[in-house]
Amino acid sequence: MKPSFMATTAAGLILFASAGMASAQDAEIAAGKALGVPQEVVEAACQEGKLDVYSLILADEAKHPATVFAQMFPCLDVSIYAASGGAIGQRFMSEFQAGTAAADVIMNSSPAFGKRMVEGDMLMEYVPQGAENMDAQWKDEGHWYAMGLTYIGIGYNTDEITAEDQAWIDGVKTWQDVLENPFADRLAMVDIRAGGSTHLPYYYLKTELGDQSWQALADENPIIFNGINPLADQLAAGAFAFVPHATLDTAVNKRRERGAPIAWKFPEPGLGIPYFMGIASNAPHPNAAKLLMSWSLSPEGQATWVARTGLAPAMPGIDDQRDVAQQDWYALPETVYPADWDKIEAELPALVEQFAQTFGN
Amino acid sequence: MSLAPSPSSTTASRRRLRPRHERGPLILTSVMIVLMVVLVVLPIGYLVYGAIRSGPPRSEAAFTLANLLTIYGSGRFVEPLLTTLAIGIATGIVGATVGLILTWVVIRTDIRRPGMWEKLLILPLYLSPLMLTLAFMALAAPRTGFLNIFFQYLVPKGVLVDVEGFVGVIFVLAVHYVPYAFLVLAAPMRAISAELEEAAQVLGSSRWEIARRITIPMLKPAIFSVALIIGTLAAENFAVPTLLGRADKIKTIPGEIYYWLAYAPADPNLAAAAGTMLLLLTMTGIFIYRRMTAISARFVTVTGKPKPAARIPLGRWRPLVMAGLYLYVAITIVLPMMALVGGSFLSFLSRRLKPELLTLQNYKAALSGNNLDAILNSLLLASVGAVLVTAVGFLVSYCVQRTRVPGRGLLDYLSALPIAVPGMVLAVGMLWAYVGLPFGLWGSLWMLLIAYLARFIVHAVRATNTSLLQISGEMEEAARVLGANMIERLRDIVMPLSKRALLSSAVLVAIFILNEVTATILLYSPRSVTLSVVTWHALDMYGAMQAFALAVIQGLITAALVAISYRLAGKTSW
Repeated sequence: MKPSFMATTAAGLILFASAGMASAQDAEIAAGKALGVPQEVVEAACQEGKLDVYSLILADEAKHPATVFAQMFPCLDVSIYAASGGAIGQRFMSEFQAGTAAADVIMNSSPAFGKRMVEGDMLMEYVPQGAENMDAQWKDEGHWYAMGLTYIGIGYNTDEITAEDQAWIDGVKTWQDVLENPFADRLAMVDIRAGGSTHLPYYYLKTELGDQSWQALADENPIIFNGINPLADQLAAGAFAFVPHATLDTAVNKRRERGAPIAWKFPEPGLGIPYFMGIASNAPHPNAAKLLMSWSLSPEGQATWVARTGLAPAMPGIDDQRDVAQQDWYALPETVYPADWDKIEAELPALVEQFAQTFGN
Repeated sequence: MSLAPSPSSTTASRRRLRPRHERGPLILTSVMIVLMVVLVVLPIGYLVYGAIRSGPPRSEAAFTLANLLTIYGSGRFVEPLLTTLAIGIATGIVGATVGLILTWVVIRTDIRRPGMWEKLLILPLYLSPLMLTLAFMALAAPRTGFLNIFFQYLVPKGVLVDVEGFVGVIFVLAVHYVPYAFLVLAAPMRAISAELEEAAQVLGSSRWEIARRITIPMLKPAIFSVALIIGTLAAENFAVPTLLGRADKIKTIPGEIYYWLAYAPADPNLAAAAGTMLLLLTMTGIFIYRRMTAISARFVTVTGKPKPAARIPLGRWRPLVMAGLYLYVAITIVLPMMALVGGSFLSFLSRRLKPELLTLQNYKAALSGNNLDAILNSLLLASVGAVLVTAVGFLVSYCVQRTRVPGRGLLDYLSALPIAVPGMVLAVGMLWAYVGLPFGLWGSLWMLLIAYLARFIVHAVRATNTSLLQISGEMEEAARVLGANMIERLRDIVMPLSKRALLSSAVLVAIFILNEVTATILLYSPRSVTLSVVTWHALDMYGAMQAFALAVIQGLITAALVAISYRLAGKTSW
């Protein structure tokens, strides 16, 4: 009797578990179908059961999209390794070249690094549903796609500016206007070497507005920071009043949400930088990675990525739920500068040299 | 000292254990050399290899001299090199000098409550240089520091203190490293036998003459070593000069390396080439130091029956010395700690302090989600790592100082190598060297332990070397003659006599592990996230205030570790 009872109980438990799993799989298959992912990919992803993401967005920030994604696909356990773009690049490339498959999905904000990964066959070819809706400059078709954008803007501490300063800020329309600012000895900038987000504005100013644009800023005696985050802290504290160009949506917004007296605006044309993701060609969980890519390019996925990370939408028609986007003073740029990232990378050594000479840094 | 040469004089040779009929020391030394090669030489080898390649190792890169030519031939690095040297030398001198004075005052004079001062003076070491810099910026930045904000209520737009600039860089680095000098110098200062000083006193020498002619000369190896190590650590620091030096546009080699490693598109090969410059500089320093301390036998003062030196009465100078100690602690510990703790309760730093800025959000966030895992991981790594690093360091030190086995000089050099390379550059070497490790080691907590062992072994070796140098070989020799093998001698004689140094080393290593971020950030995985990683991320994303809360938690953990170590030692002070 006893063995029979145990066998019956075990069979019941297996049936119960199978029913639960079948139900979860059905929901996941349906969710996958809505994303244009075939059933066999969803089933294979659930078999893999895991997803490792190398994230440019910090773990806490990436937790929200990861949670929403995991609710759709509870069969997946999502792990996030977060670091700076350079550190992610180093780790990923070293692992790839050593034959160690650790990352399924890799994020970055340097299209130059993205190109290097494509040329090194480090990214799997995959075109998610809806990829055609994304502007060409925010993707490398078949390899990587943006989850969101960060735009370069001018930032200021609202407690540290006068009525005249505010009037000048209100009047700023273009980057040419920015060069004629009234903030001599009251401004700070980030070193050109601090990543793609600083390469672009310096490159734009030099190539589109000439060498004198750099000199105009240097003449105002800016404090040069090595990165955007220490600058953001000091801007919030009121150590200076003005930042002529920085990625404020991502770097400064958290301070603003905590009450720091900071505001910003985007001169035309918009200088946008994509935060993108691609699937590693040696991904240990390639099907799970395809699910994340597909979800990230869906309208819901794009809106979720944007909601908490500070990034602006990379696709048209995406619901911008960010708190900052609801502020009266906030408006995204109407036009976008078509950045040639190959050219920027090629000219970077010369730009760095000139930066050192002009700004003495 | 780990950086000290093997004694070469006849006297010194006599002290060393004769290896005849005993294979233990040879086996131990061989094992330690192999371990050091794997832990230290392999990553540095990859680093040097990377410096002459156009891409990371294992990639389809070509050999090139372009990176080395850029670093050594372009002239662009003369200014960063000189600045780096200046920072290292100035901090080494200031740190060792202040450390020596404080150690002497606390250990050798009759100040009130020396045990309390001992604990207080090492507090700044609990914070990473980065955190200490942020605390001093919160306290004394020219426009936004608390002191200047309060001062501006009296003198509008006035600046009372300014922590930015070259002097500020040296000040903050020295504040951080003086406790290190204190910890290193305390053991040999205590171990100085009273006999020599008493003899000098009987012969009519003044206290100043005793200090100048006996105490300081006997501590010379420790002082040189501590100055060299502080200077090297300061020279490789990137956070302090970068944050405090921007107003004066201070550029250092580690600062340049940071750009090449931290930001995309990264250039780790160029960073590796710059790392070779620091490697050469520091190896030169170590070589000079070894030459200067060629004879170590004269530093032996602890024999079978050590007699501790009596505390020197300060007499009428005591109130003044006490006032100096209070002032030092106020400036270097109390005020920055107040700024740190105060800042941890603020939403953000502001020139306009008001009650609405107060918040508990920083602590709420610090103690939520995966941060608890990070705290547990850090505790585990600090505890296990401290024991592991100290044990290996002690064995290396024993091989170098107490045996005559061939290759011990090589072992000495190998164990000192990691200090010559900035943490971030060494981390790249480790990444390149260890990335293919099997058995799930890559990405695990074990990976971080391996990295910490490689990175901090020098500190454990140096701390235990000092102690071993001052223990005469006679007791061990007697035990050997009576039939005790190497393990028995280590267990029954050397380790008990080195207990304080071992404990001091373990605490120091635990603190370094808790604060380590440059290598950890490159080698951690979601399975091995640490407190320093989440602190770094907080600093990167939410601002210094939340990082302050995490730093306070980190400081409390470190304080708890120190308290536990006191209990284990069964003492109220070392």
